[in-house]
Amino acid sequence: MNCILNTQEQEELLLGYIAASLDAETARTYSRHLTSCEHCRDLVAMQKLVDESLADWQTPGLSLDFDSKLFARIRSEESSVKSWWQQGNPAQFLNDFWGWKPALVVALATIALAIFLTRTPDGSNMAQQTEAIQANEIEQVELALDDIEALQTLQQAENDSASGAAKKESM
Amino acid sequence: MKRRIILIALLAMPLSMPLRAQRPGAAGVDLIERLNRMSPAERHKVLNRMPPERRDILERRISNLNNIRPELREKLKRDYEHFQQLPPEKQTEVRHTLRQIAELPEDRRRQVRAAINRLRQQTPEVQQKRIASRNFQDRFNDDERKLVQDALAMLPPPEPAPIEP
Repeated sequence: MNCILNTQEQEELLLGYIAASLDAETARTYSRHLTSCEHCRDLVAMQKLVDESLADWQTPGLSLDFDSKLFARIRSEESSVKSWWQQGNPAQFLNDFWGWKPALVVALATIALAIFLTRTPDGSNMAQQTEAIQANEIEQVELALDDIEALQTLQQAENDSASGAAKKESM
Repeated sequence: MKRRIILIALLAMPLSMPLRAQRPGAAGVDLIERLNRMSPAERHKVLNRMPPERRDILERRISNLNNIRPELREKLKRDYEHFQQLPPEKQTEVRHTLRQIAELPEDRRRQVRAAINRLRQQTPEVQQKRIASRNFQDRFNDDERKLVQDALAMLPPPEPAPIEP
């Protein structure tokens, strides 16, 4: 199997695998690919960390008058004249070229940094209990169940022979 | 898409090292136990993202596992822990052997599994003696004897019997 990064039509596979939205056979195939592709393994691990971090992040509550303030601000921005820094200077160039993307990157980096700094290494039992299982870990659960069920078949034979022996003894 | 992945990778980089140190990859059985500890609502939330058919199968399999008698579950857990400690190539061999046993005709499968379980209770010397016996060779063909021997070599030794007071 080619690495998904080299196969454009399978680009969504990585995100589908992490979201556990793939069918079982595709998920299994990709899981096998992960055993041989370190790059994909790293990407899955990093995406998982981002998902965990975002899941843990609590959004601050909004004030009751947030909407009215927001719309008032939009109205005032729309009616105001362009400020000097928006008119033919380097800031204008950056604004036109990149749009809102730098702000998004900075915001996400700040969130990631804040989570990293505030995270405690030893969570309480309560936190561990309620810790959500990441979607890509479900694949691990299924693989473990495959192995456990295979081993369980030997136990079933043991039960059969034990119950058979018990029947003989009672006869 | 590539830019998105690179951005995610860059953002996650400062997080990855300390978090990896905190949580050294949880094993599948730990994940099953975590699922069991969750409330039905939490569990539903976690599994809700899966396709319904796959989710139903997974929930049924976990439920079957939970319904095993406690003493058998302990034995199964012990076998699985032993299995997990094997190197990956050995694990593959175990899977292969168990699959070959599962593919035997039903009657032969039952005989082979029963023989494995009886022999597991014996010391390696007794096991070899029994397998080499005429009686055993009459009951099992070459392939079946090999499956029995392979399984015995891979499974953990029996638990020591409790000491009588």
